[in-house]
Amino acid sequence: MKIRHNRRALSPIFASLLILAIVTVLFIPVFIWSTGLTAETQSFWEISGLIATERIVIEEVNLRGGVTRCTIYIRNIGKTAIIVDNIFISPPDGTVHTYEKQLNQFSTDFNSVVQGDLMTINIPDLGFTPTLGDTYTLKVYTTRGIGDTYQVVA
Amino acid sequence: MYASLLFLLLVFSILILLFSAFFGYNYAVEEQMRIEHERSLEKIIISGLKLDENFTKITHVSISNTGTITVRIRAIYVANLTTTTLVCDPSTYWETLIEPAESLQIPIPDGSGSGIPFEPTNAKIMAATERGVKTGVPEGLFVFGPTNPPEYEPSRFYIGPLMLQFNAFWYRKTTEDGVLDPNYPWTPGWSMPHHFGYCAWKVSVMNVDDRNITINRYSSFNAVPVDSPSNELSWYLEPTDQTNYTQFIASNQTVDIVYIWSDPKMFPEEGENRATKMTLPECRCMVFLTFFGWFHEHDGTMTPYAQTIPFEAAISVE
Repeated sequence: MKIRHNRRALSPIFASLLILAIVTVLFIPVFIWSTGLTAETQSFWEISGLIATERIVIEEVNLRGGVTRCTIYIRNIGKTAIIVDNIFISPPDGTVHTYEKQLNQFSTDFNSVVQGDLMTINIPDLGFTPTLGDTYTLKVYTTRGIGDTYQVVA
Repeated sequence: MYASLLFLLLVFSILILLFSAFFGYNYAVEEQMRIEHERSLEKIIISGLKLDENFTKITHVSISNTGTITVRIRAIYVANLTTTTLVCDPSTYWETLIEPAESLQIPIPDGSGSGIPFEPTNAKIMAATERGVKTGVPEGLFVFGPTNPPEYEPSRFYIGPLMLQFNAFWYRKTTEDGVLDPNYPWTPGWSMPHHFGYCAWKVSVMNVDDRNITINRYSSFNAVPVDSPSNELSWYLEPTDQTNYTQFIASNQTVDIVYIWSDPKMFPEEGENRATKMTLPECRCMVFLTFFGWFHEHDGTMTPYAQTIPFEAAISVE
């Protein structure tokens, strides 16, 4: 019996293409994992940058004894545009009254304001009647958790 | 080889993305630090108000930049007894940039004409900059001026109806029985020899109240050594009225008051008094005058009276 020896297995070009294909296919999951990781890290730094440049001040508050509505003037003094979503008002007895924008417990003249601009917040019903002469503490927070505190005598 | 190239490409891509994100954050932090620094340089004051001819409305607000950076005025507020209101953002109709050390007069419009109501007794006007720096003053301050603090007059250091004449303050040698030594004149009392012995003190006071006053025998002159307050010495009143042991001081009258006794002067049946002996060593003393007695009210009644006059300067025992 004569054994036939075929000396050619794959052509060099085909072999190279095959290796390329295998390496590329194997590299795809690595690429996806690494880009995902990078995107997360990048997103973290971007958000951190936004938070670092987000700053508000409560400029004035109209909260008077016997009046159950309140107006708060907020100025954006950071580079990030702000959206206010939470307000807390504390009477001297230590209780905390919470107002959320999602629950339509207050309204703003603009949804978002940029650096240097003023936002007027109206709370139509405080849910309590401020006492004349008492000191109230107000805290206003943005969607990213940046806030400011103000004390006002009703 | 191909795999190495792919790997290198991936690593560099990741590094570029990560570094760009990190440097973006770093830039943001630096930017915020710059904003905060600029804000710390801002300082404004409201330097004046301009009223209309009827003095009923504020038509202009003058703001001075006392900081070291250019500011832009972005809000004017007014707060009175009932409300706090945003009057306007003057930057929407006026160039409100103010350079350091300069002032700007900003017109105040309102819907019905020019100006906002002028409420000198209870309103406060405030201004705020773009960086959130605020200033405010009572409106009346610019019309009535600030309340001047009372002038300090060192020779009139008193709270009460009796005012001490600081330039009339003497001591004199006495016997143990309290008899004034005729050979030793009244001597200014700001300093005296130590271990001086029995002595009397004399001060002049003026009744600056509109009521007459009678002081009683419990009124005293107290010398308290600064270094050892427990060694306090007291000299009690030598009353001018030797019947009731009191001294009458008419309204707007200046009288001399003499202190001699180591205890409140006793009636004959109570015993005998002795003069107080100056036994203090070399020291400095704070002096307090204490008065007890009655006011003679205009309706004829009498009400209790008490007063302490601390000397502003100490006496020295040398």
